Amino acid sequence: MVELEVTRDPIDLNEFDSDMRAALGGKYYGASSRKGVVVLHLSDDATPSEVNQARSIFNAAKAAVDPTKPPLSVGLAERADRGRSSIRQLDFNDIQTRINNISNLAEAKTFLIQLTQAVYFLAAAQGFTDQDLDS
Amino acid sequence: MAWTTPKTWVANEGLTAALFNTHIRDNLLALKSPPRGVKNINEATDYTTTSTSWAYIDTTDVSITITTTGGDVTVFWLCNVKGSTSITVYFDLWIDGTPMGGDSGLVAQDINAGTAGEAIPLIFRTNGLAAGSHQFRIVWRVSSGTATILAGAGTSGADLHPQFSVVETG
Repeated sequence: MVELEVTRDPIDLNEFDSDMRAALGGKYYGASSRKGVVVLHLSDDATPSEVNQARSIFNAAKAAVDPTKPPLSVGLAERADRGRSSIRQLDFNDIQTRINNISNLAEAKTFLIQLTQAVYFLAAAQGFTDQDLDS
Repeated sequence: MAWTTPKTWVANEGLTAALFNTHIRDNLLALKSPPRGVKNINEATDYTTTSTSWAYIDTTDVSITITTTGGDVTVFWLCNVKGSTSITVYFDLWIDGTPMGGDSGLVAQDINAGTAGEAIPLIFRTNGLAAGSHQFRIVWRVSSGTATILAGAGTSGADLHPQFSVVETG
């Protein structure tokens, strides 16, 4: 395997993962971060041109990084925690009773919002969406 | 102190200081201090990978070289790993660049994005490793997504320090 050391600056590996895989296909295995050093893993049959292409994609991603934005992995972890917290507020053992007990529009809205939040945070944790939820 | 195969004593054989030192003292010292290496890992940043092919975790801090005397070697690796989402992470032991596990390594674990992730213990005993200098390294890869080894980066609730050790156990 070809190991290409590209930087000593911290960067989220997801910032360039999809672009690398789209451009290099199976010749791009992924990347690692060791002591803040990012290493690109390419297959042995990667050509010099493809190695340069990988380096270019990485440099472009690095240049586009917003230093004020938390790494994607951190964001996903936070969303997973919030999803678990939302789910814990719902009693699924008695969900039918709770629905049957809804007697007015306000109660229905409260329940719907709670359910939607739980679904949203779980979807975000799974990477299906990267939108922020206001409440 | 190198191990010496203990001699077979015969009746009425004289016990000399040299023989006693070689076969008793030196062998006790060899048993107490076998060839070994330990790395307690405490990094400024955690380790991460998106690699779906085996990659070294760290070619310095997760790498131990010892000179063995021909006995079996026991390897311990312990860390906590979390994923960017629900993924599988794989670990293998490479000795002198040769994998000890199969295609999927020695240990695989389904992990998620929880704060502290999952504890990964890897214990392996060699069989028939020749005497001499040997390099031991842990490698890892993922099914997809990103895996993070918590390595003492000071994250609240997840300031966990992996340990890698290698010892000739006879």
